Amino acid sequence: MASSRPVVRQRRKRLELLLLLSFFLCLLIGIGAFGALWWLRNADTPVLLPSLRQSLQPVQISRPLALHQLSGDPAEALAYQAIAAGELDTAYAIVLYDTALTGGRRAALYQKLAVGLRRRPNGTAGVSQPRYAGDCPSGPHLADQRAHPAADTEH
Amino acid sequence: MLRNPFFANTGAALPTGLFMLSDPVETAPELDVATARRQLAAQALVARITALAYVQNEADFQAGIAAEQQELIQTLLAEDQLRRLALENTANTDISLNQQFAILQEYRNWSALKVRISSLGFGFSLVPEWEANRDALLQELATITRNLDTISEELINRQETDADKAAMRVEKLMWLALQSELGLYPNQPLDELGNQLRFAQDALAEQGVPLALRVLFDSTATPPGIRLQDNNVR
Repeated sequence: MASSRPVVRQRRKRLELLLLLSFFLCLLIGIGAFGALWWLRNADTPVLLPSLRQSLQPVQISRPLALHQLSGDPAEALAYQAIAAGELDTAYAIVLYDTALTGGRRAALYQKLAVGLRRRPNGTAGVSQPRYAGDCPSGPHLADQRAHPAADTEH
Repeated sequence: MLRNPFFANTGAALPTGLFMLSDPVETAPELDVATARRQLAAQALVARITALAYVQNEADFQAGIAAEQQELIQTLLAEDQLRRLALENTANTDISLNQQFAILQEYRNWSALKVRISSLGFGFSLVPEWEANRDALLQELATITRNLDTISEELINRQETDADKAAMRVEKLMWLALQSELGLYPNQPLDELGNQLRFAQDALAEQGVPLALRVLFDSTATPPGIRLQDNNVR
């Protein structure tokens, strides 16, 4: 019995240490959460454009690639070609003005565009992250967010 | 949401069928010729632009492509003239509603192309005349879309079952909402379309076809627009 007291004291100390460490960890997480909330609230407010059509950046469009559509190339195939070539603004212009493209086909192209745009090194050229907006008869439809970052002055 | 293993989607996918009601009309031979000429002119311009890829100075580049660009402009204007004529002729000829639907869709696609050209959607100034009249072109696009809405509503009302009518009405409204979001249905308030969509989706649910993915107009979203509806909150 008497020999178990030092063991019990040792266990209590360990437990106290564990509780103390847990408290500081929770404190750090809480401070981090408040910091993140403060940072998000103070982030730059995006400038919203009236419509997606006005988010187009003509300077970024590849002229020869875009003109292939006027020469008879199907729009959807051309959009995929543009995305594969890294000409995302060209692909965006094609998809934006293709009135017949709906549903899963449009969603698939938007998804590819979104992946490409996220990989861009210095922000976007007027088109940022996609949001879901149901339009298509058979499923969700991805429509681009109309946010135009105020800091994007490169183009 | 769709990948959530705990989420059991119990609704149905919206059946498509509205745009299958269009009955394409054979185009006039002169329009086919005009379209072919425009495509050839575009190919020539692409070849010229590719050949001048080394030119850094914009003024020299513009001078270099001037002839091919002018040719393309002329073919576009000629094709536009013929397409307008074809559209006007539909009022004078005895064609079915399904054929009118097809013709309007075709002209709307052309109208959207003109808006794209006027907005420098091909990367540079292609037809200055259309750029100067962009507002008029947008107005024309809005008018054509409204006419398409009217004709499609008439086609919908001719369907046999109420379920088919309800499904096509939802399909039509979703398509119009998409056009509005893209900026290709100018001056059409999205919240109005959102209200119509809400009623149409409710009507479809009453026919025993509750949609798996309902949409609604979310005025609190940034920016406000059509969003997928959380099925747990109605």
